[in-house]
Amino acid sequence: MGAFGTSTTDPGSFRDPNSTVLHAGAQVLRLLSSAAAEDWQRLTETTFFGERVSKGDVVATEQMQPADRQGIADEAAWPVVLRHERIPFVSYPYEWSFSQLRDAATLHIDLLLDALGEHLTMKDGYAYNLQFRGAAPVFIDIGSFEHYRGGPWAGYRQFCQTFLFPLLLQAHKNFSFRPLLRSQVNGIEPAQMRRLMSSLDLARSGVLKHVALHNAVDARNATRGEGSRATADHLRESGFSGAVAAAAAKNIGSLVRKLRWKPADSHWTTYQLSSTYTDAEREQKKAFVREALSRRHAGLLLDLGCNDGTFSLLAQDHADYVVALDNDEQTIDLLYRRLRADGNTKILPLVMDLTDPSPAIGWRSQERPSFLERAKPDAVLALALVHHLAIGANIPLPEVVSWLHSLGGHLVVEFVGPDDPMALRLLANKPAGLFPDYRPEVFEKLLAERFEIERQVTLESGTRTLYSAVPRG
Amino acid sequence: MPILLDVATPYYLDAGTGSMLVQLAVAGVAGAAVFAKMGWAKITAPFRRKRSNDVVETERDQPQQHQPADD
Repeated sequence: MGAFGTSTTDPGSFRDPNSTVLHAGAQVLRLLSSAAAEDWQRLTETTFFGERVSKGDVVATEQMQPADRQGIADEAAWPVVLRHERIPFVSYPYEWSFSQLRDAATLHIDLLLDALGEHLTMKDGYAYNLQFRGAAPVFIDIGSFEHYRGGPWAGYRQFCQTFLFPLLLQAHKNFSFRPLLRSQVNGIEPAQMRRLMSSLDLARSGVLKHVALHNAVDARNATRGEGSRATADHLRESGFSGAVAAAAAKNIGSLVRKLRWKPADSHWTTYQLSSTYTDAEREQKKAFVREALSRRHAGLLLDLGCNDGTFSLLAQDHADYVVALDNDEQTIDLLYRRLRADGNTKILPLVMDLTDPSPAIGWRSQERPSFLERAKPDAVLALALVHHLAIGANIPLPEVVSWLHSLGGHLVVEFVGPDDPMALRLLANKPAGLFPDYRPEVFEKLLAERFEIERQVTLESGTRTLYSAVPRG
Repeated sequence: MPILLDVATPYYLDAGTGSMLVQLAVAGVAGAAVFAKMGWAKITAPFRRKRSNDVVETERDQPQQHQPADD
């Protein structure tokens, strides 16, 4: 068994017979077959790999010494074991905003070009090859790099389905890709994408070739033809070389880089301007949160309903890593772009509807675990959130408190009373008298049943109360 | 040689015939050269109107021959 205890195979790593990811304790290991070990050797001999790892674009990876790998897998079948840097919080493309997906796509293509320049290519091309370290995309699928033997890129179709089609859909039609990627783990199919495009759309960047032509050639080959392996061989024999593959990759890269999402301004982005906190209250709230978080250092902190990230930025000094969640995609996109410009690697912004968080999807509904399975925070901020769940989404207050308790971790929560302007705005949309129990004393009683309340403060206005609480049991 | 390549090639996905052919168009001028070398017949085989089964079988049996288009 060695020092690792039991290890489990990553549920998303099973399709490539030459490379498997394992979790052994807190370590992320990758087993390589002898074929994959040869490709790993070639990868380490390239110039780009070391450079990209130092820049943080590719996950830090080292080969385990034979002595260290005692008990990890059969050495004959898996002659090489790699150890990867651990990504603090795993997220998926259907949780990313437009700019996050685009930056991940750009990095993927840039790495493909680096690889082709040094006689390597990539076996696949889907968005699950990347993760984020704060606001920086990181390529994690080291097993994807392989010796280039001529021919077209095998990952182009996956790249279209999980990167290009989603980006084109949002850039050209202002239609969010997230629901489609969440419900189809393999992404958007060419035929499906084609049906979403009107004749006017054919004139837009990338649509004619990557969507219309792609679908047409696909359809014709569906029931006849020689199979893709033979086609690859014919293309190779006809001179489809690294230069041709690189030309295609460069064009895809240029296309992705120029795509822009132009949403109509959502009311959430002007929230800070229209919000009803006085400057004094804002300072009072910040001071409370700062004091509460300084009591203990959190490994992982979740900021639920982060809006412009004010409190995530405050919290990053008191946690190893912050995941900032908001339901509004434009808000997260703006926050992400700000953090990226600052080079922030501690705060990961994600788009998430907390009343309908990402489910587990894929093979055996385990391939991509649900958000709640991944979320094991040490601390949680639930500021100006409870009224949205309890009033806006009709979640009973006991349910809200029970859910906050189930997340585990130190809770800093704000209760906005029924006479507060923010609550009144939501109550105006519901029948009168629907929430008789939405009252501060009811909330406090529910909170005290499940948590030990360390400290509380009612802000100047008298309608908002902040609590710092630790879960019981 | 193709057989050796098969055994040695560790990639595992179906890259998709359509997806591979489209890369010729995506590669621009560089792709056009390959397109020309592959021969018009090979590329347009997917686009030709359906013929009788006999003709289709012949094309499959002799993949290296370039059948002139006679439609």
